[in-house]
Amino acid sequence: MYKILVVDDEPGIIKIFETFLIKNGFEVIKAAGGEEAIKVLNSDTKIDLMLLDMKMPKVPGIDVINEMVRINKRIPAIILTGSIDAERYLIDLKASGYSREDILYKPTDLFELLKLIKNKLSIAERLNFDG
Amino acid sequence: MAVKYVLKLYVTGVTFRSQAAFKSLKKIMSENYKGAYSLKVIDVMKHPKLAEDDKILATPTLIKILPLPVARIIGNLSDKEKVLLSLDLVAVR
Amino acid sequence: MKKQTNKAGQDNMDLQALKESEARFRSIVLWSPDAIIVTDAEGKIEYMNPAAEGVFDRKLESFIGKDFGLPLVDGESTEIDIFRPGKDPGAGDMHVVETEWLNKKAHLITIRDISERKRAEEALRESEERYRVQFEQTIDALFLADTQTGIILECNRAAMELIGREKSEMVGQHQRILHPSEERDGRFSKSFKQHITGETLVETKIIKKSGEIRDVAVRASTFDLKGKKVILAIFRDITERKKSEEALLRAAQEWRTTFDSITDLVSLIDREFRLVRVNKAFAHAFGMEPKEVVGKTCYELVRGTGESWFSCPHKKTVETGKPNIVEFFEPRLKIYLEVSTSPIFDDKGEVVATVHTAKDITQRKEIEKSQRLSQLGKLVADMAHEVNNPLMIISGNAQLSLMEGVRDEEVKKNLKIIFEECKRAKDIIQRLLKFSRPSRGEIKEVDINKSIEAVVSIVEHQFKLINVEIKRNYLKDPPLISIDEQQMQEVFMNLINNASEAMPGGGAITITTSLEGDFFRIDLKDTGCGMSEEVKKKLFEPFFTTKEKGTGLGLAVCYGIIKAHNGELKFESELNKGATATVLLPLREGGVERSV
Repeated sequence: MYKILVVDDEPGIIKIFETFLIKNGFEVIKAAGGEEAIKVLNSDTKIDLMLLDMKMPKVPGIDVINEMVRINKRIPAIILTGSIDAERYLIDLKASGYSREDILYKPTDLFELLKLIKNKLSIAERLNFDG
Repeated sequence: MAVKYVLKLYVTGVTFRSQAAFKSLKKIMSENYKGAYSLKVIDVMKHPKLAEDDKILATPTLIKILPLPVARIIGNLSDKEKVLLSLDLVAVR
Repeated sequence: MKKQTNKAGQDNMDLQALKESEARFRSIVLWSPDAIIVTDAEGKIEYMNPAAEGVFDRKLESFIGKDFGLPLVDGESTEIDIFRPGKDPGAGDMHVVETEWLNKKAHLITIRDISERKRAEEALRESEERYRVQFEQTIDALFLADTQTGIILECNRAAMELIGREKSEMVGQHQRILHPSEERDGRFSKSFKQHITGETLVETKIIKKSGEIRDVAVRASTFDLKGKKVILAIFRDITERKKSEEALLRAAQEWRTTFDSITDLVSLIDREFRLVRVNKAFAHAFGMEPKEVVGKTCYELVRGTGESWFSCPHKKTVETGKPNIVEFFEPRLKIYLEVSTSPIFDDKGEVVATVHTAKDITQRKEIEKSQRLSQLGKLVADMAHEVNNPLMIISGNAQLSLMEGVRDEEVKKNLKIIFEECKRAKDIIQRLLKFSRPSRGEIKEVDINKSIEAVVSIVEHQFKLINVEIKRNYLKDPPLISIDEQQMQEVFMNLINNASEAMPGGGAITITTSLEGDFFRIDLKDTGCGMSEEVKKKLFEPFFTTKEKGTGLGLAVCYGIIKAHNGELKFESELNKGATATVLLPLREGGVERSV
C-alpha cells in the first residue's frame, strides 16, 4: 500500500483528501503544516507521494520542498495551491525538479487528482525513486 | 639797593586795556630799572575810594610817586620812548 | 597925535576881531558834546568844558588846578576808561593836541564818550560769541562756503570730526576737497552745484583725511552775508543708516527671491478675498505676472466666478481663525491641489488675511493610487486564496458524497451542481487573480504592432458576429520596445473588450500606432456611447464599472501594468461621441519595472 503524505494547514481539506485516498486504497499520513511535514520527512517513515499545499503559515510549502532537496529525499509531489501563488515559486520548483504539471489548483477535481497520483506513482516505480 | 621809582597804576577791571597797560609798564620798568622800582596796581572798580582820593578821572593812569616830583601819565603806555620820556622829563625838571 | 588915534582904532578893530573869534571858539568849546580839557605842559588842569561834567558824570570844579596827567596817545587818539565812581565805567576816545594857552605850552585834550558804542560792540561781540558757540557746538557738521568761489569760510568742530581734518586744513580750501573724486562735477562737487540751484537736501559722499568714504545727507541754504552770497551746509553722517537700509533692501530681495522660488502657489488673501500678494508660481499658473494678479479676488481668478465656493478654506480660516487644509481637483488647471490656509492676525487679534498655499499633489495622488491599486491587488489575491480553501472543502465534500453513491436523484443532481458551481467559482477567482495581480512575465523587445495584432486576431472573429469592425492603422517599421508582452496583451485585450462593449449595436474600433516624442503611442478609438464627465473621473477606480457583470478591476489593472512600464494611459471621450483610449509607452529601455 502506498503511503501518501498530505500536507495542508486547513483541517477540512486534509479530511477530504484523507477520506478520498483511503477510499482508493492508500495509506495517509497527515501533516498539519510545513513544520510537521518536515518532521515526517526527516523520520524513517517511507513516503511514496506527497500532496503539498503551498500557502501555509509559519513554514510554507516551498520550505518543505527545499528540505526535501536538502536531505536528498525527492519524493514525487503534487502541489496544491490557489492559482497565481505557484507562479511565484515556479522557478524554485523547477530548480527542485518539479514542473507546471505537478501543480493542481484548488478546488481540485478529486478524480483528476487520483489520475495524477497514479501517474506519478507508476513513473516513480519505473524510475525507482527513493521513498 | 634803593628803590628808585615808586609807581601806582590805576586800571579799570581786568580788561584787555588794563592788562596791556600793566604788561607794557612792567616790561618798560623791568628792562630799564630792573629791581629799582615798585609798582602797585589799583583797580578803580575794587578801590573806588582810593581812585577818588587820588582824583583819578580816567584809566590807565600812572602816578609816579618817587622820585619827586609826583607826576602822572594817562592814556596809552605802549610806547616805551614816550613813557620813559614822560617819567624822566618830569624828574629832570 | 595921529598915530595914537590910529593905534586906538586899530586896537579897537583887533579887539573886535578877537572878541568875535573868542565868541566862535567859546561856542565850539561850550557846545561841544565831547569833553574838552586844557592842561598845562605838566598835565595840570587849566580848564574843563561843561560837557566834561557829562562825560565824567560828576562835578568837576574840584579838579581845576589838579593833575590830569600827561596824555599819551597812540597815533591820533587812544581809548581810555572813564572812571565814574559809584557807576559803571565808561569808555572814551582821547584825542590830544599840543597847543598854546596864554602863551604857554598846553595840551588840548578831547575825550569823546564812546560808552554806548562800546556797549553795542560788546553786545555784538557777545551775540557773535553766542552764535559762534552754537556753531561750534552743533552735533552736525556745519560748513560755511562762498557760493561763487566754493571756498570754505568756516566750519565747526563736528565738521572737523567728520572729515578728520583740522579747521586750518579746510577753511580757505575749496569745498571739493570734502568729497571723493567720483562726486565731482567739474570744479565743484555735484552736491554743491545742486545746493546752489536750490536743492535743500542732497545725499552725497565725503572723504575723510584717512581716505575712508562716508555717506552723508546734506541740508543747505544760501543767503547773503556782508555782500557775499554764502551757503551754510549741515552734513549728517548717514553711513550706518544707509547700511541698514541696504541690509533691509537685501533682506527684502532675498525674501522676494525665496518667495518666488517656492514652487507651491502661495498667495496672501485679505478679508475681501482680494489677492494682496502672490508669488511667481501662483501668477504663472494663471498665465500672468504677479503685478497683474494683485487686487483681483481669488474666486474671480481661480474659478472665474463671482463669489467664493462654500468649502473655500480661506473663508473658513477667516471665520475660525484656525488653519485649514483641503484637497480637491482643480478643473481649470486640471490638477489635484492640496490647499492650506493659515491666518494672519493684526494687533487686536483679528484675522486680517490668510496665507494660502496650494500644492500640486497630482503626482502624489497618482502614486497613492498606484500604491492603493497594488495593495488592493494584493488584498484581492490574499482573499482569493482564502476563498480557495472553503471552495475546496465544499467541492471535495460534494465529490466525496457523490462517490458514496447517492440513490436520491434529486440529491445527486444537487451535489453535481455544487461540484460544477465550485469549478465555476474557481474560474472566476482565477480570472480575478490573473487581472488583479499582473503576473511576472519576461521582458523582451517586441514589435508592438504584432503584439496588438495577436490580440486582435483572437477577438476579430467573435467581433464580426456582433457587428464590430476592427480597423488597423499601424506605424510602418515600428521600433522594438521592451515590454512584458503577456501583460501588455492583457491590457490590449481589456481595452478592446471595453470598446466593443461600448457599442452594443455594433460599430468600429480603430487601432492606430504612432510615435510621439520619446513615446510609442497606441490609440484605440471606438464609435460607441462615449463617457460622461462623471464616468471619466472614475474610470480607474477599482471596482468601478458600467457593466452589469463587470468586476471593475480591468482598467485599474491596466493602469497598473502601464504605469509599471513607465507609460501612460489616457482617455478622451464625450457622451455619444465614442471614446479613444491612448497608451503611451517609453521607447527607451530601462523604463520598465518589474511588478510585485
